[in-house]
Amino acid sequence: MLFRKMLRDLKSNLVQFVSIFVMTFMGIFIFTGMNAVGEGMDQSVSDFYKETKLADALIYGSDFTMEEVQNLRKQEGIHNVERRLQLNASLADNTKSMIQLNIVESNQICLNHIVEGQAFEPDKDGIWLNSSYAKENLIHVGDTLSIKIQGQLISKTVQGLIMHPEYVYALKDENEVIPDHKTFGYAFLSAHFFSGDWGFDLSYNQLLLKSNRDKKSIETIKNTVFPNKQTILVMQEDHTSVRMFQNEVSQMKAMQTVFPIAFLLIAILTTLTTMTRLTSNQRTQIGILKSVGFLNRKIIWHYMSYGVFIGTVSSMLGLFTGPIFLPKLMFKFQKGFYTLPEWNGSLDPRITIIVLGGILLCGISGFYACYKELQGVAAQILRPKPPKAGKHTKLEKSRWWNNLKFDIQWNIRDLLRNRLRSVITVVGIIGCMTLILCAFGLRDTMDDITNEAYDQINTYDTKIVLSDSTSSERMIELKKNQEYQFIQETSVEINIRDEIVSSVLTVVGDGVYINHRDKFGYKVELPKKGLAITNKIAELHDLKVGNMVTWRLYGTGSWVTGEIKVIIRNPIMQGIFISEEAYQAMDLVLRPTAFLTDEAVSEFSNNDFASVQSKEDIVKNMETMMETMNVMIAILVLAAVILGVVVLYNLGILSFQERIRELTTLKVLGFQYHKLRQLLQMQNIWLTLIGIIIGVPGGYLLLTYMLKFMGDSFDLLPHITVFSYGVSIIGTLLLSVVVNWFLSRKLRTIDMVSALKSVE
Amino acid sequence: MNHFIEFRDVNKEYRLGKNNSFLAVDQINFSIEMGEFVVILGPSGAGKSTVLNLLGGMDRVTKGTILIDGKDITQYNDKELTNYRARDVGFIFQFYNLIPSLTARENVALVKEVVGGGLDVDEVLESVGLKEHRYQFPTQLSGGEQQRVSIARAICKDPKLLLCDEPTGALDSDTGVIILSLLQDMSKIGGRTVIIVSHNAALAEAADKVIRIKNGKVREVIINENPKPVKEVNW
Repeated sequence: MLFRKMLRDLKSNLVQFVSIFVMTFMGIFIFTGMNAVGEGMDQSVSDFYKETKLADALIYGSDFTMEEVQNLRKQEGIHNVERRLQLNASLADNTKSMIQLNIVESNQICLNHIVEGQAFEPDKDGIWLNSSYAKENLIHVGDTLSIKIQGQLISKTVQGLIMHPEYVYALKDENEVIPDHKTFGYAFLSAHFFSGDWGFDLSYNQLLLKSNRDKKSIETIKNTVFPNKQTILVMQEDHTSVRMFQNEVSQMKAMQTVFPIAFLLIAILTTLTTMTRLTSNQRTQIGILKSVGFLNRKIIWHYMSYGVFIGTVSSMLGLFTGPIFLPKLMFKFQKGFYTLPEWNGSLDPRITIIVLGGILLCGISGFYACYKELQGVAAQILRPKPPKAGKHTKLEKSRWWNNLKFDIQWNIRDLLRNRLRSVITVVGIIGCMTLILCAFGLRDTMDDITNEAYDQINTYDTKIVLSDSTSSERMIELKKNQEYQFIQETSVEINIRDEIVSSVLTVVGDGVYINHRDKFGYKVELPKKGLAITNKIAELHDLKVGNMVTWRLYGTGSWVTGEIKVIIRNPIMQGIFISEEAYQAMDLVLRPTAFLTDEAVSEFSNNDFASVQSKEDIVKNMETMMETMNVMIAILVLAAVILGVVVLYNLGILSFQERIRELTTLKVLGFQYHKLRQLLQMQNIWLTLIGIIIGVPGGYLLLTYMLKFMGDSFDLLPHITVFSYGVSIIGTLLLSVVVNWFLSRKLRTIDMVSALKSVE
Repeated sequence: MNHFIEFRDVNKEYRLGKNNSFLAVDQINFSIEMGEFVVILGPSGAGKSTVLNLLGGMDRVTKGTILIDGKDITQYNDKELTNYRARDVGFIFQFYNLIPSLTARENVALVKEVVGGGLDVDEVLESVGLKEHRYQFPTQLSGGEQQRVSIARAICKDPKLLLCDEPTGALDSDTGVIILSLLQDMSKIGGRTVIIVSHNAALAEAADKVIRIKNGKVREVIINENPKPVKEVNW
């Protein structure tokens, strides 16, 4: 019977309960949805790694022999070892793109995932190309590819299209942010058929390891097996592709907690206010229930059931829709960056405990609300509760109080008398403002990357990557051109307080195409002695100007030490920068790996180069990604608007209902409609303004927090344009005005006769 | 002859459901002169409050004419009606209807927000005997004191008409007498037209005019040539 009473009560307080429903639903929807995204990505990628037996560690070096492999296999903790040769090549008829070839000996570690065609096997001839590249360049299974490797041409038939675990996040160049599958691909070939084409023995430059040991012990093993060889150990978790994806997963998981908090907080607070009002309105009914012999326990359960009922229905709806729709949406965005065979949402089972906790909290709000009313005997409860006493607030002692107009005084007192209601409204507006601002800020910051990285720092139009086969005559000829700026980009290991960190060293020759800035945005020159390090690395490892840094090039030489002279900021690429002059002062020679120019890409169609990339393409790619991002931003803003509307409308109705008697009195006394409207709206406008004022730094902080999870290679300054501030502030204000306009229409419905009849 | 207030064939019908309606006021006719102390008597549900609400511009007639000082208020639009309530009518309710978050003085000063002029707030408060309590909130005052605030609020704007709906209904009888006598003075000394709705027949002795209503109809109108002062009425 009481269940029926509850359903009818829900119906008569529809607005409040619908808003509790919406808030709980949104909270659980985003919470479980984002969890499904994060967990799903984590699960999907580890399934992929497991299926393809991704190596636990890689050793880079040169000329690895079979004895060395055997020797390594004998070491304790090393389960398996395999040799591989990795080198860059290009299609004979397309120099703009680069293909990274992997020549595999036994295919036991780091297998391919077959998308189309035949499975890769070491005793099969042909080439297996990554499917994204094939798709972009319209290559199909059965086609014959002509590939140019170090000046030599070979032809192979495409046997299959594949995906590989080391290329989940595959960039051609550190200057890129988004993979461009049209200009960068990878391929796998069998060593047995390759050596024939090559005409001489393969010089394997990578070892793939399966091992359960940690970095330190593998490092020790490596040093005993290769006492006299330059080798570099990279653990699985330090591999760029693996690391970037892991960063992304933690970013998704961070979002999972931040966003729903606002919604769930509002849901619980709304339940609390609604239930408090409901139970105090039903005080007499509680008295009746008690006097006819209902146990306190039963009455408490009845009032808890409102929150539990709404909470359960909305949570279940959220729980079943969030993990379905959000992954679909987010994965669409992620697929622009990462390549995985399967993208499946997956839910951490522990999430259900949190969902249950949310439902319980809604119930507890009901308990808290009716517990107060239940105190005392039935007869006492049946009498109406004395009204809340008016109190002089501290403000009134100040001199200016009496100069305030009555409507202001009234509203100030009303706010202070209904603190909880005021606080919830402010929290709702803060949430709304914060979300909108953060959404716009994300866009502004992304815009900034393009500006900073490609308009301010790198001002070239074309970057030409030299290949090993570029002849020395050609080099001399190129170097004659004063317009070209030569650079050397090399992977390095940096030794920071005995911790080995993988990074990139860029030696910059004379020229105008790279302009560095410090972290305050001021232009700085690379020092003539010593080196420059990017801000992100400096902050991560607590390095300051004057500290010494030791590094060595991958594969080659000995350790080099230099002093940090400048700290520079680069939004997309972290590493060490050294001027050619400073490099020479260290007795080292710049060996160009690329050169920069503002000549058009078409000038360099010559096959001598590994690849030619145009900045325009990179920027275009960025813009495509931004379009996908707009969808996310729209969703954030939509969530913010729902939050704002629901909170303002719901609490506005509450406030209206609580003050209806006063408003009616004023109407009877002859207050005109517009005056009453003003009176009713005043405090909502105040609360909106307070919410906006707090929401501005809130949005900035949320943006800063979100950017933290962007990954180690990014160094992004939170940036929100004046325009975005303006739109967010005016938008939130407008929202409040519109909701208030709808609320004040209720004033028209006031029935003066019945509203004043008696005190309930 | 022009009366100050005149009800002509006034009907008020409330729709209760689709095919169900209730005639609260049925063809009522009466008139009231300027400065009269009038009591509308009748059992509960007789329609007396409805008459008062119609008179005060809080409700609209279904049929008929209500003339106040020669003007037909049934023809007023919402805004004019609001102005009429603001300027010409002072209301006193059974449950006072004070704003709980405003002090006694502020509750009175409130009406100055809508109508300029009127009487001095502090003087009015003094005249109802509330000078000491004027900075207290309604909840800190007794029922009688609250009703006095309500009276002060009603007269502060110096209206032509004071409408009181069971003004002593929530008070004990001693306090009720004080309040009623205050209202009688408003008429006798202040020269205002005071109309009280009550179910207490004893009040008839104090009124200039008694209008008895039953089942929505005027049963009789009695004109009292020698009304007793409220304090001398035998309650």
